[in-house]
Amino acid sequence: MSSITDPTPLHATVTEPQTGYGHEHDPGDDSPVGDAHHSPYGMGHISSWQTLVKVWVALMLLTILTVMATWVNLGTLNIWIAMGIAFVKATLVVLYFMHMRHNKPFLAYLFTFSLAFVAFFLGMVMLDSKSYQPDIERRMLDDNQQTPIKQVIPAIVPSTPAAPTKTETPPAKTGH
Amino acid sequence: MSDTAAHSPDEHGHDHPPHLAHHFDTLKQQFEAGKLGMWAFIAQEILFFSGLFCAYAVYRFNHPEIFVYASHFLDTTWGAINTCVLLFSSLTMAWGVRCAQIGDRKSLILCLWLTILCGFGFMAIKYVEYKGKWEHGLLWGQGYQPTEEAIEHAFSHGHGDSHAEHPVEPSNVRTFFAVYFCLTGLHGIHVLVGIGLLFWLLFRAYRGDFSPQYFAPVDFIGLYWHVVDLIWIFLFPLLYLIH
Repeated sequence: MSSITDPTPLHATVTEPQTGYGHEHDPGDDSPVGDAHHSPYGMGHISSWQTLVKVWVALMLLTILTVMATWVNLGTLNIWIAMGIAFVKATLVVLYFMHMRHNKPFLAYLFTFSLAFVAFFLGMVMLDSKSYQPDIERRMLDDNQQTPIKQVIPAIVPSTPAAPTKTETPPAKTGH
Repeated sequence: MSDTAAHSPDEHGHDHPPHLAHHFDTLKQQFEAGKLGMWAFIAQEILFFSGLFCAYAVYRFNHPEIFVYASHFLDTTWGAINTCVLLFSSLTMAWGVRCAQIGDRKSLILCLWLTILCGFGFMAIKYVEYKGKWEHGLLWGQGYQPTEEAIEHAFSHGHGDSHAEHPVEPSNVRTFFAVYFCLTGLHGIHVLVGIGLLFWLLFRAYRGDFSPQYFAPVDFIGLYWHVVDLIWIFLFPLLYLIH
C-alpha cells in the first residue's frame, strides 16, 4: 500500500483556525502546511518510515551482537559489555521510537532524573551489600565444609540479667 | 476534509473540536499535557522495576555461582526470539503512531494488529517457557525441586566435552528462580495490560476517532509499549546471557 510509505501531504491550506485548534508553528517553520516531518498542528514530529526501519535494523544487529558476545569468555567484563549494548539499544528506542530526539528537553530531564535515582538506589544498596561480603564468604565456607553452625543463643533469664549462658539449653532456673 | 468533523455544536452551546477536553484551550496543549503525564508515568515505571533489578543485582553480586548454575536451565534461543518479537512490535507500534499522525487509518489498523500479534507471540513463548519450568520442577522457594530430566537437559544438552558432568549444585538455587519469575512475571503482566490497551486503540481506530489533529492515545500507548520493550532489552541479557 503506497500510503504507508509516502508522506501524504495534508490539506493544501490551513484555513482560519477553528476554536481549540490553535495556530502554532514550529519555530523556524515558515510554511503554513505540514510536511513530511512536522505536524501542521504543532503536535510533534512525524518520523519517516525509513528512520524507523533503520533503527529497527540497528536494534536487531545489536541483539545478534549481544548474543555473540557471550560466546567469548571475558570473565566479569561480559556483563558490562552486555549492559553496554543493552544501554545503546535502549538509547535508540528512547530517542527514535519514543521521539525523545524531538521532544521538549524537559521530558529528557524527567527521564534522566529517574534513571539517576535508579543508579543511586542500586549503587547505595550494592555498597551496603558489599560490606556483608565477609559474612557471606564465611557462611559459604561453612556450607562447603558441611559443618552445621551451632548457634549460641544466650538464654534470657529474668532474675539474673548478668548471667548469660553459653550452652544451648538454658539452665533450669526456677522461681520468680 | 475536516470541515464537517471540525466542530460539533453540542448542548454546551459552543463548538470545539471533538476530543478536546474542557479544561484545555487547544488540542496542542492537551497533547503536550498528556505527553508529560505519560512520561511521568514512565519515570515511575522505571523506578517500579528498579526494585526488582536491585534484588537481582544484590543476589547476583553476592552469589554469582547460583546464577551461573541456574542459567543452564534457561533457553537462550527462546529469549532471543522473544527479544526479536518485541523489537519488531516496537517498530510496528512506532509505525502505527506515524500512521495516526498522517491520518492513514487503514495502515494504523494494520500496525495495531501486527503489534498485538507480536504481543501474543511473546506471551505464547513465555507460556512455553513457564510450562517447561513447571514440568521440570524449576519454581521458586519450596517449589524448586528439579527433576532428573531437568538436570540432564540443562547440563549435558549440547555439550560435547567428555568431562561434562553437571557441577555441584550450590545451595539456594531457588533464589534465582524467585528473581526470574518475579522479573519476567511482572514484565509479562505489563505485556498483557499493553495488549488490552492496544485492543482498545484498535476499537477506537475502527470507529474513526483518530486524525492528524487527535492521535494522542496512539502516541501515549505507543510510549507504554516501548517501555515494555525497553525493560525486556535489559531482562534478556541479565537472565538469558549469563555464562
